Amino acid sequence: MSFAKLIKSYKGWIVLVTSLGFISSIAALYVPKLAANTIDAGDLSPWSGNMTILAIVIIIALAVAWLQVYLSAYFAEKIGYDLRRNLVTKVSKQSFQYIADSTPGKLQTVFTSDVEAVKGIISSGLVTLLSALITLIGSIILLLTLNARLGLYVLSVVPFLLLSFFFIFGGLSKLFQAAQENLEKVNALISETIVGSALVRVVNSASAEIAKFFKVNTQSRDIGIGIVRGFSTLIPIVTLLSNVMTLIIVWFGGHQVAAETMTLGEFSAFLAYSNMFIWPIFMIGFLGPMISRGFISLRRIAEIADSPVIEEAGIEVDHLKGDIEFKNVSLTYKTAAGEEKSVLKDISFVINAKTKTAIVGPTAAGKTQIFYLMAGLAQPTAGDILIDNRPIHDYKISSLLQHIGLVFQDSILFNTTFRDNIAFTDNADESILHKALETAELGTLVKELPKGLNTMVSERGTSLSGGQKQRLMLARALAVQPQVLLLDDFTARVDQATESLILENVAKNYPGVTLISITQKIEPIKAYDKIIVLMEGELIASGTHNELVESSFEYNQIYQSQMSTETLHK
Amino acid sequence: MTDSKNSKLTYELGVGYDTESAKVSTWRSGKEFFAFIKADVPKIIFAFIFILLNSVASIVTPFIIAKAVDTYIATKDLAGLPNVIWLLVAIYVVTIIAGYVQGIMMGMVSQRTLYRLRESVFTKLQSLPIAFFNQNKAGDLMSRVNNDTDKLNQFLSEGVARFFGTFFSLVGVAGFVLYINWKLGLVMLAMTVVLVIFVRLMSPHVRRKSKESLTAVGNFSSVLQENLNNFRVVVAYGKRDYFRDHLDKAAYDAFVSAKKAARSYGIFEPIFDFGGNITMLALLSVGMYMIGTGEITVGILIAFLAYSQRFYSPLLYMAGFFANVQTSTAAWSRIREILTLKNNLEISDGIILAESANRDLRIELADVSFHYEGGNPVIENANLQFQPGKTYALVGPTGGGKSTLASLMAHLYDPTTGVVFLNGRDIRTYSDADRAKEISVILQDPILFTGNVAENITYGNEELKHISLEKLEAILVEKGFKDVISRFESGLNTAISQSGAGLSIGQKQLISFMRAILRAPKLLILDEATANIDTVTEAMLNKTLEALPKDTTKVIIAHRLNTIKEADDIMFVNGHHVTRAGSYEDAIGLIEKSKRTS
Repeated sequence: MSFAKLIKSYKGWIVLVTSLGFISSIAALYVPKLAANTIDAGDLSPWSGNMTILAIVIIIALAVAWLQVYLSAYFAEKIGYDLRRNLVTKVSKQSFQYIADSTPGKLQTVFTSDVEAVKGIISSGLVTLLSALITLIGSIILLLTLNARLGLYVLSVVPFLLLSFFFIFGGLSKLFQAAQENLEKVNALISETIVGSALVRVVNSASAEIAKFFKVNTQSRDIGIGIVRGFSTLIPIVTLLSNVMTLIIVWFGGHQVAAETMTLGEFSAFLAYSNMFIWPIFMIGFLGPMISRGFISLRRIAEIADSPVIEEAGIEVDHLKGDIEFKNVSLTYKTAAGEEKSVLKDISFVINAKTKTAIVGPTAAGKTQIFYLMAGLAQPTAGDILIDNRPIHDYKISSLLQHIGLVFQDSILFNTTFRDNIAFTDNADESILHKALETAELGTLVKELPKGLNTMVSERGTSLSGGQKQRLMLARALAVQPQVLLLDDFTARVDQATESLILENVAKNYPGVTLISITQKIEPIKAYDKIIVLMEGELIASGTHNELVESSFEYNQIYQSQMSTETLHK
Repeated sequence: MTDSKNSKLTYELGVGYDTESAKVSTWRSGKEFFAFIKADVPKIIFAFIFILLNSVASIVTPFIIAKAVDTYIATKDLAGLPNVIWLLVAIYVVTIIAGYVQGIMMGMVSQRTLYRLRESVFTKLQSLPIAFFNQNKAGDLMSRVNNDTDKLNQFLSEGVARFFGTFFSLVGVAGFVLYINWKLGLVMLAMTVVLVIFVRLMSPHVRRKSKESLTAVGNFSSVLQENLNNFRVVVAYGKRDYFRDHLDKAAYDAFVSAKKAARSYGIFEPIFDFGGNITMLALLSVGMYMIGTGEITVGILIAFLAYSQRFYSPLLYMAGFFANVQTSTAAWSRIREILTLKNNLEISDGIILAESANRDLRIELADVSFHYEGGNPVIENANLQFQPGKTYALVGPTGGGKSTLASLMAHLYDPTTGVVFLNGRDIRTYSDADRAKEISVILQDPILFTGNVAENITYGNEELKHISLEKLEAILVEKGFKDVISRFESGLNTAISQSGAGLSIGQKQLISFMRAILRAPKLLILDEATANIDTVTEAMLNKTLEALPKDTTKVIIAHRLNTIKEADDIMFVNGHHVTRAGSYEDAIGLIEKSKRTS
C-alpha cells in the first residue's frame, strides 16, 4: 500500500477537501483586494456596492472554511480508522511467530503513532500544504498583476527565506530524531523500574537507576535546548525577511504612489498580501519534516498491511480422536546474533488417543516448543506432525484448535471479566463453564466474587494468587471441551493437594481426553501410559515409568532427585 | 521525614490521598509548581522584558507606516521617507534581537523545568515502597512520568511565552487604536466581545468532546497492547475473530469520538477569521464615512485595517491558551499527586524503636500482624525465630500468606503491628543499603532487565559492577553454576530483550537464583525460586546453597516437598496463621489435611 494507492482510494475525498481549501484561500485572498477597491473607489458613504460584495465574500469564506476544517478532520479520522481496521484484520490473520518477530512493542507503535502521523499528513499536512501553496501562488500572481515591478522587488526576498528554512530544518531534523531515540530510552528506563520495582527495592539499586535516569534525562534536556536554539534562530530570520518586504513596499511603493503609478488602495493591498505571503512559507517549512515523517510511518504501516498472511484453508474438524505423531521433527530458529539455534532435533514419538503422556526434562530442553508445534504456534523446520494420522497442515488450524486445550506455563490474563477470560464470549454455555470451573477447583472463588463471572480481572491480576491464576488458565482450556489437553508445567504454582484433586476432576469430568503434561514431578505421572524424556532438544528416552527406570540413566537421575518425597508419600 | 511513621496512608493515586485537604487550593498547588522554576526566575524576567520590547515594536510599526502614508506618500513629498525607513530598520533590529533572546530564554527555562520535573518524579518513584506499585497500574504511572511532564513542558515552552507575547500585543494594540481614534478603535474591538462570549459558551462542550476522544484513543491503545502481548492465547484458542472484533470496536469508538471532537473544535478558526473579516468590513464602512467627514485620514484607515489583521488571529490563540491551561493544570495535579505522597515505610534515623531479647537470632518476628490496605488480615500474631546458619521451610496452600511473610522479612512492607528484628535490631533502623547487604530475596516472579544474562546476574551488585565476562564466568563456575550457564544459547552473553521475552520461566528463575547467590547474603529468602526448574537442576542449585557460608540463614517457600526435605525447621502457613510443623512428616500431614481457603 503506497501513498499513491492511498491517494487513489480516497480520490473523491481529496478532491472535495482540496477544492474547498482552494475556494477558501481564493476568498481570503480576495478580501484585501476588495478592501483596496473600496478605499480607491473613494465612495465616502457608509455603505457602498464594494462593501456588499465584500460582505458576501466574507460569509462564503466562513461557510467554506468551516466545511473545509471539519471535513478534512473527518477525512483524516476516517483514514486513521480505515488504516487501523485494515491492520487489525491483517494482524488477526498472522501467525504467532510473526507477532513475536515483529515484537508487540513495534506493532503497537505502528497502530498508534504511525497511524497518527499519517492522519497528520492528511488533516493538517495535505490540505494545509495545498491551501498554503494556493495562497502562495495566488498572492504571487496578485502581487505581480497589481504592480509587476514592486511585486518582483518584494519576491526577491523569497529565495533567502527558502534557504534559511532549508538550512535550519536540516539541522533540526537530526535533533528531532535524536530526541525521539532518547525518549524511547527514557520510556524504557521508567517502565523497567516500574515493572521491576520489587527487585529494585530488594537489591537496593534505586540510586543506580537514578544515576542512569540522570544520564538520559540530561541528554534529553540538552537535545531539547538544541531544538529551541534552532527555532529561536529561525523565527527572527523569517521576521527579518518579512520586515524587509515591508520596507521594500514602503520605500518603493511610496515612490510609486508619489509618482502616481500606484494607488493608495493598491499600496494597502500590497502590505496585506506581503503578510499573507509569510504564512504559507512558514507552513511549508513546518510541514516539510512532519510530512516526511508521515511518509516513513506510511511505509511502516504498509509493511504490515502488505505482509503475506496464512490463508485459513484445510479440513474442518468436527471431532478429534487425539492420536498424535511426531516424525523426525526438528525446529531451529535464528538467534538475535543471527546464528542458527537448534531447539528440537529429530524428534519422533507416537501418542495414542485417550492416553496420558508426560514430557520431562531439564530447563531449556525444548519441552514447551513441542506444545507450540502441536498447537500450530510454530512450524517445524523439518519432519512431520500427524494428528489423527493426517499432517497438521492439512487441517484448518483454527478449527483444529477448537479441540485442543493448551494451558501455558505463564498466566496470561486479559483486563476484562472472568467470563471473557475463560470463554472469550458473552454467550458461552453456562453448564460448560460451570464444569470447567469446578474441575479447576475455582467454583468457590467465583462464587465469592462480587459479580460472579462478570467481575473484572484487574490489570496485572494482582488480586489473584499465582495458583489461582494458573487454575484460571486451566478453566480456559477446559471450556474449549478439548479432546487433547496440553498442560505446560501446570502444577508448578499449585500445591500438591489441589493438584491431585484437579487431575482427578479432569479424569472424571473429561473422560477420554488425550492428556499431555509437561512436568517436573515424577510421582503423579508414574501411572501414565508414556513418559518422554527430553534433553537439550533431543528425545533421549520414552516409555512407561517402569520401563524408563529400567533403561534410562537420565530418567533415573531425575527420579532419584525426587525419591525422598516419594517414599514419604506412600 | 519521620512524622509519618506508622500513619496509615493509601498509595492509590486518584483517590483522596490527602484527606485533610482533598481539594488542594490552586494557590498551594501553584506555589509547589513554582519551586521547579524558581532557579530560572532571572531568565524569565529577562525573557519578559524582551517579550514586552517585541510587542511594543510590533505595535508601533503599522502606526509609523500610517504616518508615513499620510505625511509623505499621500502628499507626494518623499523627502522625509528615508527617515521613516531608518526608524523602521531600528525597530526591526530590536524586534529581531528581542525575538531571538526571548525564544532562547523561555525554551531553556522550559527544558530545564522539564528536566527537574522528571528527575523529581523518577527519584520520588524510586523512594516509594513496593505497596505503591501494587496499588497502581504500570501504564498510569508511565503516563504520569512521561506524558504529563511533557504536557507541562509544551505549555511552558510554547504556551507561556507566546501567551505573554500575544497578551502584550493585544493589550497594546487595543490601547493604541483607542488612543489614535477611539471611535474607530471601538469599532475594531467590538467583535472581541462577541467572540469571547462564543468561546465561553462553546468551551465546556469542546473540552468534553476532546476528553472523550482522548479516553477512547487511550482505551484502544491499552486493548491493543494487551491483545498483542497475549497473542499466543488468541492463536492457540482460535480466537482471531474475537481479537479482530474487539480491536475493531475499540478503533471504531475512537473514530466516532474523534469525529465528534473535530466537529466541535473545528468551528473556532473559521469563526475567528470571520470575526476579523467582519471587523474589516465595519472599519471600511465607518472609516470611509469618517474620511468623508474629515475625522480621519486614509493612512489611519490603512493602519486600522493592518491592526485588525494582527488582532483576531492572536485572539484565537488566546482562546486556545486557556484550554491549554486547563490540561496543564490537570497534568500538574497528576504529577503532584505522586510528589506529595508520604512514604510510610520510613527508615528511622538511629532511633531505636524496640529491642529484641534475642540478639543472636538472624531474624525474628515478634507479634507480627499484617493486612494490606483495606484488606483482610493476611498474617496474625506471628512469632517466629530464625537462627543463623539454619534452613527453614515455609509450606502451605496457595494464597495462605507465605509470600507476604517473606516480604515482611525483607522489609518490603512494615507489619501493621509488631516488630521484625534483623540481627537483633529493629529492621526499620537499617538503611536500605545495609538491609540489602544482609538480605537477598528470590522473588516468585523473576524480574529481568534489558541487557544480557551477565548484566542481569550482577544487577544491583556494587562489588561486581565492573567485572569482566571472563571473571564473572569463573566465579559462577566456582560456585557450581557451570551447567546452568550452558542453558543459555550464548552463555552469559545471551541478549535479554524487554522483560525477558523469549526465555522460559525456568531460565528466568536460574538468573534470579545466581543473582541472589552472588550477593552472599546473611539471610536468603527463596520464594518459589525453583518452581519451574527441573528437579535435577534443582539438586544442583541446592548444592550451591550448601556451599554458602555456614552462618547463612535460608528461608525456603516451596510446593515441591523434596525442595524442603533438607530444612531444619518447617513452618506451616495457612489462613493467616503460622504454625511450626515440627518434623517433615508432620508437615506432610498438615499439607494433606489442609483446606485451601480460596
